[in-house]
Amino acid sequence: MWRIWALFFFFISLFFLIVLRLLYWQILVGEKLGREAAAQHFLTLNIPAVRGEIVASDGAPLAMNKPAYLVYASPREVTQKELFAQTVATKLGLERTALLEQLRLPDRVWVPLGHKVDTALTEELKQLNLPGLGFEKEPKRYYPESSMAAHLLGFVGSDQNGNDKGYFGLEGYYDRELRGKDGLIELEKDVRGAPILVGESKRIAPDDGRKLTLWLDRSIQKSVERRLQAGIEKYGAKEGAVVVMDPTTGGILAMAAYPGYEPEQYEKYDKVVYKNPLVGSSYEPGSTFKTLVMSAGLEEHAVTPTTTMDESGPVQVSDYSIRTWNNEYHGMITMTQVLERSSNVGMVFVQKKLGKDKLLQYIHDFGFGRPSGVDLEDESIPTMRASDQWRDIDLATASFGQGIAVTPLQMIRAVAALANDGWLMEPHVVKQVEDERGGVVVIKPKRIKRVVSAQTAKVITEMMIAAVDHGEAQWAKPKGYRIAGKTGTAQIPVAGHYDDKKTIASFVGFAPADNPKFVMLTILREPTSSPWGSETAAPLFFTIARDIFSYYGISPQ
Amino acid sequence: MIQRCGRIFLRCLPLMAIAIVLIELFVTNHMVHMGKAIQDIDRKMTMLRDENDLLSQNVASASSLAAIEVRAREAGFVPTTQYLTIGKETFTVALGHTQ
Repeated sequence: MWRIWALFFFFISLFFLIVLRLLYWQILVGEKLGREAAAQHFLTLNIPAVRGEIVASDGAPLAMNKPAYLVYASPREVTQKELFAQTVATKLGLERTALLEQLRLPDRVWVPLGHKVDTALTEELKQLNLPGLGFEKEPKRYYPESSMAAHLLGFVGSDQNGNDKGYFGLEGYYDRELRGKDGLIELEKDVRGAPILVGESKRIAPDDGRKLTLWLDRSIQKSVERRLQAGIEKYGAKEGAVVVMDPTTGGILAMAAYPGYEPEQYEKYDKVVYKNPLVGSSYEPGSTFKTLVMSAGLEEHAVTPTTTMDESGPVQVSDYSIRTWNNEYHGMITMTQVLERSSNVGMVFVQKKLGKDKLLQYIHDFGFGRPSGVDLEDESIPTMRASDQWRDIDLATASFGQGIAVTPLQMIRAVAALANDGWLMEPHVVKQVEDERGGVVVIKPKRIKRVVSAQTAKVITEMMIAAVDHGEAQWAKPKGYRIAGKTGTAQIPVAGHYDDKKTIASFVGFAPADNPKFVMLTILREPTSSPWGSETAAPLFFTIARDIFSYYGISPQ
Repeated sequence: MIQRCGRIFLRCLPLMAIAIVLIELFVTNHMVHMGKAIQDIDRKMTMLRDENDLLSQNVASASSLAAIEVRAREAGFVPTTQYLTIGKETFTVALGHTQ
């Protein structure tokens, strides 16, 4: 009888064992096994989306993709590991012993040897016909114009998973649009790995990245970069930047900063140079800011171009004495002469006439203290102190552009409003976005606010023309052109005080003044040939302006 | 007559079924082999696409301003140092004056 029971329990145990095993296969590891089975039956291919191009306004590519390859080794297929390591290490510049060590690891099935290897070298490697050496397409970002507009474009690096990712500039800001979405193809395969046509298949088409067309003009950009480089050398400046904008649309026509870098070889440069100083760094605008405060005074009828003030000596504000830049005083002068002579004392007069609330309102209306909305990744917004924290001396110094921090882009945008009948525009780098199916989204110029009336804009334009024609920079101005502009020389704050010897020289202006085609800001940091904007940044401005006049075919009036 | 036709049809039915199965087998077998041909076509397409990308890259490089500048210098062109603009008032002959 016990034999029957033993047999019974034996079968019961066997039954439970089978149930447990099925539970393990179907429930616990069912999903994993399902995936493995599918991998055996199905051929799954990732169809990478092609990163979108960035083209200049004339359609010439500024950023595109070039064929490149991921080179890898499959150690199990490598027959002669020593020879393999020796040959491949020499070609790809790898450490031979380290590579050999990796190939000999028992559990390694795949060893990446080189990312984004160019086609010429890949062809050389393919010719070797080494067993176990594999290649996978891995397009590389290519910038045909080399370092041109590097700060504007940004670059493509890798994220933590090794996938392409845009950083800085347009590559960073529009990364999602440029990257697109990878597709997938899944086919049933035969024993040799070839797809079976009658089998199951699934295809998800890739959504290629979008193409960005910029406002940027290659010719102007080239001229700006060449002139900036020469200007930096000529005036012995530490750094420099130039931005050119179309005042009626807010489109950025050129944007250059020195020192620059090559986006394709970004890793060879110091990380400090990646940031675009024109949108990401702040500076004190100095006398260029006077044009804005004066326009506010005109708009509020606090002053007119012929209003006179007594510039007989320094003006006292609280415990501070405010002097003119050269400590020279001219007695009774008009507001036009205040701008021509860049009188700090005169600007304190305007500020007092305008009053605190109006001055702060106009500073805000001209777009300071808030984002400009530019489509670049690295924009910074220098904070403005709260209105109750402005002391009399702060208001006085702000009237001539000291003690207030702005970005160069904020500054040019504000002056562009004066060139655009008083309309403040949203600055834009991208003109249109195009998808792979040809769908085009045009980014229309966006008006933010009318800061001053068209009449005030005309009056301040005439005053700025006079500032150019009769100011300190008149010697450098191209003859016969009506150019509205203003020089600026701001001292650099260092550890709570201003450094006497270090300045930021700048010039902002637009031309032709009666029908502005461009507004431009030139900045030179710590020029050594002369600290003054009129002797450094202004000649640089006029040199570039000459090139633009010639390019646009604008003749003297 | 109808009954006779029906009988013939019924007799042919197994033959027809066998023929359909054979055709199905032949077509399926043929299509399975076509996979390799498709793979070859796909490979060629990839190769042509790569070649196209490479050509686009070469065109972009050759038409870059830096390359054009180098070629212009080689051809003897020099950068402009001075601009001369001729305005209406500087014309040496009168314009629009008919006598």
